[in-house]
Amino acid sequence: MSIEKISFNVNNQDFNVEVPVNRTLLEVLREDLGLTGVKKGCTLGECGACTVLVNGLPVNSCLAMAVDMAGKKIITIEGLAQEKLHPLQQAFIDSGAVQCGFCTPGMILSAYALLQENNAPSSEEIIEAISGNICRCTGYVKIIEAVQSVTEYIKAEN
Amino acid sequence: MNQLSLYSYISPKNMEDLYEQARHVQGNATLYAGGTDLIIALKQKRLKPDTVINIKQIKELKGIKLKDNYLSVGALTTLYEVCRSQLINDKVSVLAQAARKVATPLIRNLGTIGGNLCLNTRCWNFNQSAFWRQAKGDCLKSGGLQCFVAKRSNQCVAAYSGDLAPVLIALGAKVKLTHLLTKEELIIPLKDLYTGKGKNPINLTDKQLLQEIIIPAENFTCWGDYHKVSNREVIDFPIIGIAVVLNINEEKVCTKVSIVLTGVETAPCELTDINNKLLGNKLEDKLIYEAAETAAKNLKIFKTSSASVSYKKSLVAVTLKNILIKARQQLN
Repeated sequence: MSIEKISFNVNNQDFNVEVPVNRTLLEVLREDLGLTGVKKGCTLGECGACTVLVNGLPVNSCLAMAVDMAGKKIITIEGLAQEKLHPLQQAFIDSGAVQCGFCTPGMILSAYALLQENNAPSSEEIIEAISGNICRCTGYVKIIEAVQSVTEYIKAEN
Repeated sequence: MNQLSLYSYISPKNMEDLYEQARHVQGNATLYAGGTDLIIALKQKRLKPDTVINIKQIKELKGIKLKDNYLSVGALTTLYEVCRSQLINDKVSVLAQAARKVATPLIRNLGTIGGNLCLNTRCWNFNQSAFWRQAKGDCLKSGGLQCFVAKRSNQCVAAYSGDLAPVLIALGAKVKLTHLLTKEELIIPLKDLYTGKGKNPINLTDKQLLQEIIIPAENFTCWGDYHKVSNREVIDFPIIGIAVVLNINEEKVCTKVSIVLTGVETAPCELTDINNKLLGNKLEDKLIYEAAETAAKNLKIFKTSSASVSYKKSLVAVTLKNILIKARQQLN
């Protein structure tokens, strides 16, 4: 089996791993690094449950080969909270934007990426940013409210 | 569990490295650029390459540059970069408009313009898991003897559904192809990249690379619009998509018309007859209605998705009418 050695940074921690070339980023994050906050959903890029940030941009980790991640910086939902929950995570709880929670990691990371470049997004911009993340239980209104509620914090942080 | 089957893997650092490594590739090879279509095809066992060539590190294939008389877009430029590029938004905003309609933001961050142009044709009998296809048996496209859609046909009728090809064809774009063994470069009109054959829709061998997209400056001043109809606004491929690029003079007469459809036939469908019908005329109601109805009537559509043939034809007629009316309103 063809295996490549790669070095990459996940949640501000450097890893040197050997990955089979036919392994996706999703599989390596969940099964090798134990980061099960990255959810395995459709595995076809349709649901967004496996969203992670690669060099700051949200992508479907099921559609990226792990071997291609050499030298890249990856953030999963586990990397967002520091000593306490990130304000965006707290806002999701406070706004009732979480029901079964399966879409939540991807939803939060897509919203986080948006807020990094736009600290006062409109509802339309939030809807566009999370349009690759499907929620099948709560609906989207509370999620949009949660993202909007945290914009003041992000402004101060920047 | 690995969902992808086994293959050899190479990752050249630049074009010279690619040429060198390509000489040693055994069996059939496939390129890994954005990967958003490739990885799904690998998971569904629709593609079984011996070698995957990761071209993401090749910087020569990236970037958007304005030259003397054309705009050059590297094939590895991501759809995200196409949407955001100031140059593209200034010179050919219809391309950025169409790129924003491709899939989702997550996929656009990975997917490339070259990959989008080389999208395989789609059919609900083919774009399924290996398990699903095994139950029904192989169709023509997956190596069987019969097309399940056009049962009397010996040709696959899967539909081409890319969003950017119709816009770029309407803009008169060309593509630069490079042969990986001979290094020979070839510039062809983008429309010639498509064979019109559902089974092998892209006119590229596995030893050729789509390197660059060239958009001529003469069309920078044209009015353009791309309208996509899909079941959901995001993620979905188009049921139909229509790109229109046109110009009118001071007398309100069309001096350039290019209408190209996607989602209907085995290749992006340029409506040459309709273009000629509109050329030299004013965009009046009667002409617009006639052109739209004729365009829909003449299409050879097969039921390759859940949308029926008559529904697709109706969508083409209505959408084309609306775009031409919008053009008249905005240009007058």
